[in-house]
Amino acid sequence: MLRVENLTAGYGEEIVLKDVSFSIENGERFVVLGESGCGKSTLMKAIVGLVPPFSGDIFFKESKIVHPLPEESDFYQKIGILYQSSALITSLTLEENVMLPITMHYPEFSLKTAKDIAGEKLAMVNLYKAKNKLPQELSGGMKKRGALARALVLDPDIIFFDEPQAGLDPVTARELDLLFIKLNEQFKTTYFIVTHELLSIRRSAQKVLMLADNKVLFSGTYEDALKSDIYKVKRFFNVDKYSKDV
Amino acid sequence: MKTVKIPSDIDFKNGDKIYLRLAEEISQNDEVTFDLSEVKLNSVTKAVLRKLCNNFPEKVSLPDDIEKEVNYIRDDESQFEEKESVPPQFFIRVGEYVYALYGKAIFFFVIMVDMIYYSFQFLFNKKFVLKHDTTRNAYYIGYKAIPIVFLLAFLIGFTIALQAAIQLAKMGGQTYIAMMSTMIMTKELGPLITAIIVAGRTGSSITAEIGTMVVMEEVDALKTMGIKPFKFLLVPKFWAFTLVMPVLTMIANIAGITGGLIVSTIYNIPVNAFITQMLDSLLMKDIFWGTVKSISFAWVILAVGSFKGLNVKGGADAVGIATTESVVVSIFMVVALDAIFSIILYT
Repeated sequence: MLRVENLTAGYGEEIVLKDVSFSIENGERFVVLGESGCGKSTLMKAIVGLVPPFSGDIFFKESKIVHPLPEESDFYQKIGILYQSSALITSLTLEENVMLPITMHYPEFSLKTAKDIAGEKLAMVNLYKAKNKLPQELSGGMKKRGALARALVLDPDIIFFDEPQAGLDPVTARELDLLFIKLNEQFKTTYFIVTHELLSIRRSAQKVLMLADNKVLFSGTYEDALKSDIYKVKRFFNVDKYSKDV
Repeated sequence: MKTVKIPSDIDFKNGDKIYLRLAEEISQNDEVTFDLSEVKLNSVTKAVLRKLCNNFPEKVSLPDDIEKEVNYIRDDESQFEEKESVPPQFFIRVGEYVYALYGKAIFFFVIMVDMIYYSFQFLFNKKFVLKHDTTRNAYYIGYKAIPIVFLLAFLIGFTIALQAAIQLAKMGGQTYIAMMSTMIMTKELGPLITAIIVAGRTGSSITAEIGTMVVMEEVDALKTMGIKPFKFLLVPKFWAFTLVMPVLTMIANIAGITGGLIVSTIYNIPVNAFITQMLDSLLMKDIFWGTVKSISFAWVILAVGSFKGLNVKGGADAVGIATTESVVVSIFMVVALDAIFSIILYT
């Protein structure tokens, strides 16, 4: 589904990621983890083109992606992104937000059908009744679910999640994780999840990529990561045991 | 060897005074030991002890256990270390400033060109623009601004006519109030007052809206949904501005001339005479150029508002700064553009 080879990216002259390579299979829940500031979000942004990479290759469904891509590119219709801040357009209702990718890309498409599709996606995330609310009238968890509905609306092949549990209480975060997993199993959409929440990683991860010191520290299955002998990986999963006292 | 007693009651109120007293005592002796028997190691006491140890390293020292508590370990500072920087020379600073200004000018030019290009492309391709967004924008930019535009233009028209009438009356020329009010409003003040009000009212809100969208990742979200942010955000505003500004300018002209009419009635000039003189001095050329000016001002206000909004980096404070800058730059550019128009049209 997605293959990244020797990707180097950063901001201005600062290199945040160097020679990062990995691949993601169809339908997989792939979690990128690491300590704060290790470049997890930069990796996601480099793949989708928000931070154009300095070098390296990105292959999406075996086609090479060369950033910066124009917004009309098919690539952007085949991906969905759930931002940390949800990034719902505040001047539009939830339903209008979910319909937005349809109305923008297919202006001739029947508005009634677009509303119906938006309603279906909102029902999937249990927000159908809130469809006429503005984003600012929703709780943090509801905004995330609304953003997921919008990410799902064009039936993307892959969804990128940037710290989906950020700012949520453990109960809401768990509900959100279970919802993500349910939809992943139902639709076989590939997930690229950037997070450092251990509980969420435990629930969602099938494959993990751990970043540290600007490069890939570990890549493999979640079970293998738990058994890894690499000190920083062990410390990440058993933080109390391997960290120095303050 | 002199023993200096460290008091037990050092706090934020007396810390500086006690430090000075202790420092003086230490400086008068060659060798000193501290009596720490009653010391309470609060933040101020620790700071005073650190300062004494730093300033008199050869004279005083602390017992190991106290020193451990007093001197904190700064082992994490390495990550915040900044590269030693030499202040750039004058010409380098000027060069960097000019280069940054050049970059901003290019970006502003790109926004202006993209805005005009996408807006005219929209006439043939409705993609990436929300239905009814132009109407919604026209309502907020235009309809909602009518009362303030009318009131301010009326008051300015009234004040100017009154000042002029006082002077004209001395020469018996108060009958010219109608001509003066009409010409000054249609040629200059109508478009200018409207543009300044719109820059303050709508230009700032455009910057705040777009700036907040940038901060909240909404612009990134638009890009990654495959939606052109320029087209989505600017095109409805462009057409709303283009349609509404000439109307607002016309309202400002009417309001300003009405102010002149009120003044002329105070000076006993019949309403019929005022209207006749007003119609005589009302030139189509002035109305046409007033409309052209108002549309140009509108585009400048929109481009500056968008430019400042899209350049926001940081958080809420950055949005506030950008909003203020947007108003200042918009008004400056409107006045500068008005001066250029005046030079072209009337010299």
